[in-house]
Amino acid sequence: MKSMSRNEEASLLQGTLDMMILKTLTLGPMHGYAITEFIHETSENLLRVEEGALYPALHRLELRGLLASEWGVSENNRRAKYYRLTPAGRKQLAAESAAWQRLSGAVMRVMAT
Amino acid sequence: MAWLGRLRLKLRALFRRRQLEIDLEDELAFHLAMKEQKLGDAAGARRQFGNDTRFREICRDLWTFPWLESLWRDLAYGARILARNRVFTAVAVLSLALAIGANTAIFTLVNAVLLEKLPVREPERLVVANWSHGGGRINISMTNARTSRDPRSGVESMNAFAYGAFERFHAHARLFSDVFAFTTLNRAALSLQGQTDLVRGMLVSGGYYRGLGVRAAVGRLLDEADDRLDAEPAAVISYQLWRLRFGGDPLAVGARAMVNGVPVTIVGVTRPEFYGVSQGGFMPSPDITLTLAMTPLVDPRLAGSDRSAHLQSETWWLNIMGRLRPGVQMGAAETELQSLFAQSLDITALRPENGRLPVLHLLPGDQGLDAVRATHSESLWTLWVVAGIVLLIASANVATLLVARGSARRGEVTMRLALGAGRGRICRQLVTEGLLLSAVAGVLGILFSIWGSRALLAWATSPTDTLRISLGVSARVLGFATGLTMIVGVLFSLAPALRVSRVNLVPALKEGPGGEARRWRTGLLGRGLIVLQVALSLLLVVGAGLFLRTLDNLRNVDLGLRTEGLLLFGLDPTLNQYSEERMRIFYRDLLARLNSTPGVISATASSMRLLTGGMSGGPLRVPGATWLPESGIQAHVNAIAPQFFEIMGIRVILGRAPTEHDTASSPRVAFLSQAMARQAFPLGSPLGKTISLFFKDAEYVVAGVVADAHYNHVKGEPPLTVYVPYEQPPWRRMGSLNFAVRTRSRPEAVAGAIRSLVRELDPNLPLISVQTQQAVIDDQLRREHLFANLSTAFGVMALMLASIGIYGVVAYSVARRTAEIGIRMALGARYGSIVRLVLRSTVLLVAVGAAMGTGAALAVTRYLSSMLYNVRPRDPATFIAAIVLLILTALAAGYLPARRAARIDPAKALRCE
Repeated sequence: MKSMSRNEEASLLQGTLDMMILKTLTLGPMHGYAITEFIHETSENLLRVEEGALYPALHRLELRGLLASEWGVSENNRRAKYYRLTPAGRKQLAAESAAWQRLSGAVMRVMAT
Repeated sequence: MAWLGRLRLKLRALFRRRQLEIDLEDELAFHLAMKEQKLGDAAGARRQFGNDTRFREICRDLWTFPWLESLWRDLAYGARILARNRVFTAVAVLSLALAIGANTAIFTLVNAVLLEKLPVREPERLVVANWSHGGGRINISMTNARTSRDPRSGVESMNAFAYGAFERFHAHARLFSDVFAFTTLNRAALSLQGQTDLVRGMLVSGGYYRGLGVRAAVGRLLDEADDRLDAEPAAVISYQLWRLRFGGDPLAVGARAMVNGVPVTIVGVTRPEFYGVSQGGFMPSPDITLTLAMTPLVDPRLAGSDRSAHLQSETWWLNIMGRLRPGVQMGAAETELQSLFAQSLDITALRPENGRLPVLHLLPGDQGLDAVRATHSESLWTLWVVAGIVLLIASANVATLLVARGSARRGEVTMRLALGAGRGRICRQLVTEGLLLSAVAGVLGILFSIWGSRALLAWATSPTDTLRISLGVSARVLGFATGLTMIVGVLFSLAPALRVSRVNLVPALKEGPGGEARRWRTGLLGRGLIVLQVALSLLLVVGAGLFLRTLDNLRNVDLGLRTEGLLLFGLDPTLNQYSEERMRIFYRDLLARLNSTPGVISATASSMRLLTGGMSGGPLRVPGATWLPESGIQAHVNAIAPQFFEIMGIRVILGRAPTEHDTASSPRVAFLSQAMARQAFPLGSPLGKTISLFFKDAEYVVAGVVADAHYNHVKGEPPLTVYVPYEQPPWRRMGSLNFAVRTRSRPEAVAGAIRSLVRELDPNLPLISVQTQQAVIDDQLRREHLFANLSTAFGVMALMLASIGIYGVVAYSVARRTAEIGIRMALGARYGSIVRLVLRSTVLLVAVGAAMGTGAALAVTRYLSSMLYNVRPRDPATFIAAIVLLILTALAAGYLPARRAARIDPAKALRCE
């Protein structure tokens, strides 16, 4: 996913990026780089999250209280900021993924005619 | 509650900005390092990272108040710009500060004088009763009263009523919830805790405090139960007296004291902000207040020896106020009281001969007894309009300079526009600069106004006026000043900002500064501002001219008197209970001694001090004169001592002047002014004829005729005057006298000798109002002095501002057109034609401005006519002088830079292209 400069597309894609970040973090606290790597691998190299999209998204999610962050030490002994889900984040994730299922289900039904 | 978290973050960002930035840096650096590690190629990782600046900005935006940041940046930038152009900033700030300060000072006065109300409950429902003669005069003895003249109708009305009238109002007025009466206690000697002092006292009816709607600070206030002859004598003291004599001790309630020898009990204290009903000084704020029932005991002069004179129908001494019931209109209340008033006159058989009853008037009482608003409102509004015009000129001036400077900043503006700033952003920054300028000016202006309002009040009121107004910087005043500052700031910076930012980028960047000239010449904004300034300046200069001429005319009025070198002072032996005989001896003795004091040329006395506005008067009748009305001629009367005419410079035309031989026991004589003589005795000489003054049995023989002289006012015609010897006054008893001493040297030098002289004769007799006659006249002309001075100052300021504006505009125009001028000179143009070229458009602008200003002045000056004296509002001489002055000033202002332009070295000019 390239970082979009047009606001209209950004909002759609940003919503899904937020959802995917939340989902990723259900596996446990991660730093930003790990999140991009996870999404990249799990989507079988189809989705690459650029930093310009990721970090604003992470900070916004933190502002909304869906994530909490703390500084820690990474695998290679560097200082890194780890994000984790908050209970509010979990609730939001459930809501958003349900909505996404409904949406993609509806699109598929139309496309399958 | 996400917004709460956002707010917290933003607040944290405000103070711990650096930490947040470091965190962000670290986070991104870590990500980059990991990427490097994975790709094994630093440069490649960097490339993939992308434009980190952009999303750094996005992150930062999350944790800032963006508008706060940009505001702060604008302010800092603006401050730098202003600091760089020191001259411009100084001129702009100073002129704005003066204008804002003047406006705020006048608003302070407007607020205090016109808007302040009595510190009582619902002052808008209070009314004051006055009455005027209906056309027939009634014979009464009036005291403790004030006569005021309505400026519009010219009707004279008095504010004192008889006790019978008050009783009737109090008992029968249904449209009022309260009617109350009061008067000053002329002499209040308060004996408290063994100490006796003269304080200010007041006598009030029982409903006074309730009618006003005030509460006590301590104890209770007087009520109806106290206002009875059989009631225990009660008194209320003021908060100030309570603090002074009791130190705020609540045990003051119940303390015993004596007023003029009569024992009273103090029952309460009024609140500190309560000062009574007189804002303008007609009555002093009372230290002690008693009920009307105590009048015969504490005021023997009023009550007389039989202790009931104050209840007689011919004695009018009470001021009356009332509180209207909710929903009652003043007109209906007035009608009700008028009929009650007429009934009270009927009963007392005081109807005048021609049957026309006195008319009762109700005036708004929300400012108390004094028509402070009516007296001062015209002056204040006029001053405010003038100050407002000055502010407009100052703002237009700054705007002009900003427009001129704007063209110098074109380069900067176009660069910023090219870099992506929106037009709104640029305008916002320029307006912020303007607001910064006006904010600094505003702060200075407020400081200036604190001094200014006090000075204004001091100039406008004579020392004897006691306007009880507080000139603090109240919230309302501060709010006014702040609002004014902001409006002015936006006003003068918006239009130039809009103009500067409206730019076609490409041609502007290509052109550079030279192309400015053509655009400047067609700039409507700049031209309009100059025309506006010129027009408004002309308006002010015309006004100043009219006021100056008014003052000059008034100063040169022929008063019929010699007023220089005269020292005045008053004495009132009745306060010390002198008998008639003792007073006569005292006065004769004093006059003789004064005449032999070194430094004194001669001394005299009169019952009325001249030109103070006060007068005594009454009807003059000529027995058997069929050509005069039965009611006589209204005469101004002055009871004088020998040498009065000589000292005051009044010429004796016929007969003689009073001498020491005109005493109480000698035949009564009178001296008529020339106009009076002509009116009373149109045929033949009045000498030896008999007249009666005031009362039919007070007969005088005319012994002399003197030239007309002014009596109580500087303006207007000398009134019909009758002079009598001071021992033979038409009023029943001799009273206080006003002494006039003609001195050899400066009058003030003799004052000390006179004081000791009087002290020798009676150490307990204070001198009243020691001043020179000239000071009295100056007092009368206070307002005219003030207006002349202020309008001149403002007019000069306006001219200076307009000149600066014109100078700036022409100078910039020259700077822009240096190359063009160089070419012209190289081609042979001479000095004169260059000057003409540069000045051409300016001259046109000034001419248009002068024309507009003249038109405006012609239309507007008629509103000043009530404040002018012997000058027509459209006086041609003043107008022409003002126009000439303005044009000369404007041309001079424009000529200086034009001259410099013509001296340009063409080679240098062409080189600098």
